[in-house]
Amino acid sequence: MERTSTVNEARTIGPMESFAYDNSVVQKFTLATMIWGAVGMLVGVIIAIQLYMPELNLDLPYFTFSRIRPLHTNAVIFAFVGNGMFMGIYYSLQRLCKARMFSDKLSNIHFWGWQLIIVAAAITLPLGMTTGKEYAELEWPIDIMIAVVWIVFGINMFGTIFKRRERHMYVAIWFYIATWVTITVLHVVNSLAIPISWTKSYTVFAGVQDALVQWWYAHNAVAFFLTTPYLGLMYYFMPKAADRPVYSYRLSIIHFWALIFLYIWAGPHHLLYTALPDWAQSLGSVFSIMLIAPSWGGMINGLLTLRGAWDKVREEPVLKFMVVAVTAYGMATFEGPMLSIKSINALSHYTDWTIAHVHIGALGWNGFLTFGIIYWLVPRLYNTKLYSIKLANAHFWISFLGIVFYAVPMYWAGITQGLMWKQFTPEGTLQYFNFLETVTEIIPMYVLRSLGGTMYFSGIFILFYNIWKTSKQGTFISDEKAEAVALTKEYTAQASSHYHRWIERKPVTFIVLTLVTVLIGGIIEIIPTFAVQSNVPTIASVKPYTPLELHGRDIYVREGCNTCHSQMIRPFRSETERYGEYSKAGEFVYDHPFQWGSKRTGPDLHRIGGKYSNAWHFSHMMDPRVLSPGSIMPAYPWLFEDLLDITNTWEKISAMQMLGVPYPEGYEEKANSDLKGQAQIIAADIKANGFPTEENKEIIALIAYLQRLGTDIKIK
Amino acid sequence: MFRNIFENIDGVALLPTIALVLFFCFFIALIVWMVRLDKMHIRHMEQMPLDIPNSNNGNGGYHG
Repeated sequence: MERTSTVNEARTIGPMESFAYDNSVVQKFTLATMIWGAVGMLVGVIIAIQLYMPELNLDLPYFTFSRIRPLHTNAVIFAFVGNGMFMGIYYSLQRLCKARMFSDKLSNIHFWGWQLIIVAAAITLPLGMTTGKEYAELEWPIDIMIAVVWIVFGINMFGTIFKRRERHMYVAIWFYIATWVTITVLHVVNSLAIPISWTKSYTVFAGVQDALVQWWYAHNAVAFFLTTPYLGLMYYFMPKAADRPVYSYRLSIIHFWALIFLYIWAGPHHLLYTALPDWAQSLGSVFSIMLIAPSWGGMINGLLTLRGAWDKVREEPVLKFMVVAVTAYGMATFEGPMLSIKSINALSHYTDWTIAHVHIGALGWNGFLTFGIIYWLVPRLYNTKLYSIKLANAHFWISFLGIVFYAVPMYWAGITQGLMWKQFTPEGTLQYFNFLETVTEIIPMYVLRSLGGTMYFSGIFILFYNIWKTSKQGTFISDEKAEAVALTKEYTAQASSHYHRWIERKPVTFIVLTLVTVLIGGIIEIIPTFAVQSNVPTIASVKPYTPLELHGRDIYVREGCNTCHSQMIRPFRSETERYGEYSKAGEFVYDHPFQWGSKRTGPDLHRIGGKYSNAWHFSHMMDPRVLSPGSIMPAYPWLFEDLLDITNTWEKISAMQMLGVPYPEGYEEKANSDLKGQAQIIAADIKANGFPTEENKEIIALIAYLQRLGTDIKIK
Repeated sequence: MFRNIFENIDGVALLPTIALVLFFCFFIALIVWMVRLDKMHIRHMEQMPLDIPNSNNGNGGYHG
């Protein structure tokens, strides 16, 4: 039978070759991982404290929650996990391919390019340069830099794979390939935009379609940036650390193909009960639930790799970190599908429950796997032993307790607030009509959460010290000598050889198959949403924004208001009673980008227009606590001093026209006179109510936008 | 602007049905694949991360 005859496969064996693995790029990425990890966590701790001490923004835009929360997410995802992924890939890929990286120059360009992108993000995000799309906030010049550096990484990776001395590609490499292929597709599609300056662009997608593309991207950024590369690392480093092969290689094959096939469909679960067409929502839910199978297959495969080695887990901090990481992966990938069930999502969405969920993933899965790998890797890079097992254990425990102190209060806060939003009195009115009541209720949980975050953050200093001491006691091996037999060109496979073995030998075929697999889901979901007219019913009364409102909207995007305020009222009685008529897809057709948001730290704003006076908004933005005592919203005093820049109105209107927004022909020429007229009316109204202001301030434009929100179809 | 492009695709509404069929076939094929995999080859593959000197031409031997 074919199963026993594989020894005959290799007919020819090439000469033995000497070469060296490049450890210096691994060392650099390791250091960057730790530094950016510390930065990302520090920003996280700061914004966590700001949630109960809003004055900590120091009345400066650059420290305000809504601007630096994206900095936190970007730093953790792309800087901490990004560098961690590259650290692990550059180490394992060389060894699995039995080859040095394709080009040292490309390795260096990749490393420094990636750090440059992170620095650019760290500068531009606090400055308010943002696309307003979650986890894709960086503006178009940085998007192009990301694309270039990503391609450099790709050339380097595939170059290494092509010159490998090992015929078959181990499962970890498949995960790396899937990561590269899918992130490329996601990044390009979601970043399509029309620039109006070096620091501002409008996404080509609008409203509900933008929402679908954005969450297709964001969900799969979780899948293919935070998950698949780390699964590859798990499949390499866990067997290494446990010194035994993965539990089931067959299972890893199923894990891989099922995961990449299913993941790409699940994006719409972020948009349940929104104005997204129902069929797309259902598709997202169903595929999310199916995702449990491969995810848990992977988790079990990881944990069972430790079969017979559980005694080592007690003594070996590397394994401790890894076991918690894989367990957290299992918890998060069970919870994710549960949160994708519509009735659960109805409660969880917009609350801190989601925040708890993602932090199980980020702190547990990504963080702990990264730490485990660093503790395993650095002693080997320096040809020594870890400086202190005790300190590594201390790091483990303080960070582990940090996760508990973070997650438990967040679950508590999320469920409490979600229930309070939905609570009716026996008379049929909302029990907590004032949104603020539901916020002040959970403030103690926010305090606890920041404590948990601080504990986790402090752990990284123990890591720093331990790694620094380890590096001091050893000698860095920049080029690690190795030998392997060269691959011969002639390869005679058994006629009966199986398909998967064939794919494992053919990287190009593998890339194409992976691409096809991940494209299927995206295409099937996205194309009909664009194509079928009835998916976005047009509403005749919905008109484009006035120039002043458009400027105001850009300020709304710049300040990151969507970080805490949704613009999407779901069709529940508890929401229509609180906010007004539920949101319709047709209301967002001119929104580039959509601003539905994903978290309600403050109330929904979709029907805020006309609800309060101009003077109310004016006073509220100056100091939210004057009108809403106990509010945790930061003040935005700079909006009252900064002048509205109307020199780019022409570009803004022209860009909108290009995107199909029906401004009359030639309107871009006279838009500014309309703008001034509207600003004068609003400013006069505010002045008449006793607040000194001028019509050319940014706050006037923002108020114009807020007063417009949701008024196109207002009922009653 | 995208709507105009996709409107011209014939039978675009059929995509969800195609999706279900694809999904079904995909997993059947995957399971068949897995079950028929060669045991010796699997042994070779799973040993890869471990530092065991071996030849590399996929000769499928178990090196443990």
